[in-house]
Amino acid sequence: MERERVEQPQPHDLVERARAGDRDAFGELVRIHQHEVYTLAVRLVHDRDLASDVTQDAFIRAWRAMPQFRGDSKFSTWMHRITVNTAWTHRTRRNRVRLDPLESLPADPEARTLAPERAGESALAAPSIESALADLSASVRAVVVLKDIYDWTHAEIAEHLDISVTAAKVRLHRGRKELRQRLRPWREDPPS
Amino acid sequence: MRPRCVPIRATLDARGEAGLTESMLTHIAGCAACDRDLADRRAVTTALASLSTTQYPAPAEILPRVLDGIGPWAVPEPESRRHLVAVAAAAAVATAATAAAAGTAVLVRMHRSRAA
Repeated sequence: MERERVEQPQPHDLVERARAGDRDAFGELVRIHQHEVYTLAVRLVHDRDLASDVTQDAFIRAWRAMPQFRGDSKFSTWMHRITVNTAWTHRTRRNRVRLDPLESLPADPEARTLAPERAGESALAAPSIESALADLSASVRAVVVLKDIYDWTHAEIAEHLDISVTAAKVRLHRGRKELRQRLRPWREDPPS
Repeated sequence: MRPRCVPIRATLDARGEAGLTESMLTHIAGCAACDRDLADRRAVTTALASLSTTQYPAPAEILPRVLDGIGPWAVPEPESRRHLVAVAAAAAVATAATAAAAGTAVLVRMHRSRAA
């Protein structure tokens, strides 16, 4: 199923100015994109403190790499790739990813829904699916998040997680199957 | 699960709903287990897709921490400027090497003239 990626407004000149070393322009890019980068980090590492560190490091890496940013992809897409790489570096460094209970995630009531027309669906589904995602192993969850939420291809996932395409497909299959099993009781007896 | 259900699950695993044939769809319509399996798959897809519209607010300290982290010392140089710096550095090294060689030659000549 093709989905439209959610993109923030990104004035082209901000990127150009940041590429030229304009710190203020880069700060504005951080201000615009920090929430989506943080959200991706939370979903990958499922730890609020670690997600903050990942977000901060991802933007610092991006700043250092700005001269190499060619604009072949959107800035947000480029940031997503850096965020995934940064999250994986942190994960490897710590050699584990803490799986906090759902309550310790960024407060759900603060989560902002970007598409008002889907607000009802999102509000109903989000707590349960986020909780189910949290129960997946980190390596399986990363593939499910990148494929089914961020619409990455298997090849992109394999490249950035440093796994084979086959491994990416296997993990996606395993993750979806586990999610089906975890969500089934909720579907049969939804919260009123 | 009936034998006819097995290839349908395998097809859904491998190719998703796009891989289902007419005969498979006919089977699903009359098989409660397959119908439920397909509904479960759709529910997961819908629930995950719904997350793409939700964002968590980043902690307020992230922006100042990033700005502090990049600092004025970390300002990236455009490639053209870096290239110029590299050329200038190479020229400086070459000049120093030439000067050193010339100095050595002068010293050698002075030493020889003294010896003579």
